[in-house]
Order: sequence, then C-alpha cells, then structure tokens
Amino acid sequence: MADSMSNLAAAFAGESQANRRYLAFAKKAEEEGYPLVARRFRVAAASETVHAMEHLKTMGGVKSTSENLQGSMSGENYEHETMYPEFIETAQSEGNEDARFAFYAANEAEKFHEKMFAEAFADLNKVPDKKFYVCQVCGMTYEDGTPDACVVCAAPKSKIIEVL
Amino acid sequence: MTRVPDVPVEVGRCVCGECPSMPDEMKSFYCARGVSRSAVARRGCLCEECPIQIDYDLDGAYYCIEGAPE
Repeated sequence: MADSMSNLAAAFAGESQANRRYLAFAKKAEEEGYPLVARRFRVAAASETVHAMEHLKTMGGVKSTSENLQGSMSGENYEHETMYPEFIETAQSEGNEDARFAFYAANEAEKFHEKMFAEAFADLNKVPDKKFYVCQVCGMTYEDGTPDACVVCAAPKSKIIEVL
Repeated sequence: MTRVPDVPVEVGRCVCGECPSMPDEMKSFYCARGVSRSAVARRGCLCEECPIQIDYDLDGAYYCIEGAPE
C-alpha cells in the first residue's frame, strides 16, 4: 500500500492535469456555443487548482524562492536537453508531424524559461524588471517586445500577449 | 528541400496568421512547412502579398493546400 507522500504526489499530478483538462474543455464548450457548460468546467478547474496547490504544499513541494528557482531551472533544462529532444526524435520516426511540431515548439520555449529563471536566480535582489510575453498558439516566450509573427509557429503579433 | 528555409527570421515574417483562410491549427508558414493538416476553406489568399513570396521569387498561392514550393 502506498504511503501518503506517494499519494500526495499522485494526487498533485492528477489534480494538475484535471485543471488543464477542464480549462481545455471549457474553451471547447465556448466554441461549441455552450457557455453555461463552459462555466461549470471553469468552476471545477478553479477548484482543482486549489487541491493541486494544497497537495504540493503539504508534500513540501514549495520551498524558498531561491530553491524553487533552482528546481525550476533544472526542470526546464531536463526538458530541453533530454525529454523533448527524445520525444521529437520518436515523433519524427513515427511520422507524427503534429506531435513533432508540438514538442519542437515546447522545446524552444523551455530554453527561454531556463534562461529567464537563471537570470533571477543569479541575484534575487537585482532581478531585471522586464516584460514577458507568451504566444497563445505555441507557448513561445519573449521578453521586452514581440516580433511581427511568432518565430516558432508564425502566429501573428496579436496572439503574443503580455503576462504580468 | 523547400525554397523557403525554415529558420526563425523567416518564420517571424510569416503572414499566414492574418490570412482569412488560415485553419485552426498550431502550424502555419506553409510555404516552408507544407500543407495544412486541417481542411482549408478558400476565403482568400495572402501568399501573393507576402514579403517572403517576393524575396524568394515564388509565384504560387494557397501553399496551405498546394504544399511548399521546392
């Protein structure tokens, strides 16, 4: 029988995924013309966020900002150095172009995320005050301005929005 | 190999996202990346006005349907 720490980790993963899944379902419901159904998905998504964050805190997953930055840098590094390159290769060998491109796009953004976190980690008391933008089509991330079109997915400038 | 290189500087000049025929998918930049995987409804084409079309001396249209020129 699993112990509570394993269960917390599993529950955190499950609730995190549920949040994302419900938000995607809410978007689909809006597109299909069911705003009241969309609302229910968003309500559940908001609740799962609370669950996920509570589980993460309970299992000691939220440390000091410095430690969280360090962990995040490692995570992003693993993704763009190891995980996504392997996934891209697999998708390519399968001829699954949709998966390949989705992994390629995510991989490009993770490289930026590591640098963004590293810059903050270098000196927490002197973090540069920059503006950041995220492409709503592929997740590519930019700082201090956006191109006319996303350099990864070519989405127009209007789809690259600032995140506060 | 397609005539338009799939490099960030060219991706950043792509106008597909503004096109009335653009299907709902992540991929675009069709003159380099090839046909759309979604059904494309012909509602007009921006390829002929695109700076990439001009700079690479292309003369096609609806690359999202016809594929990337080689």
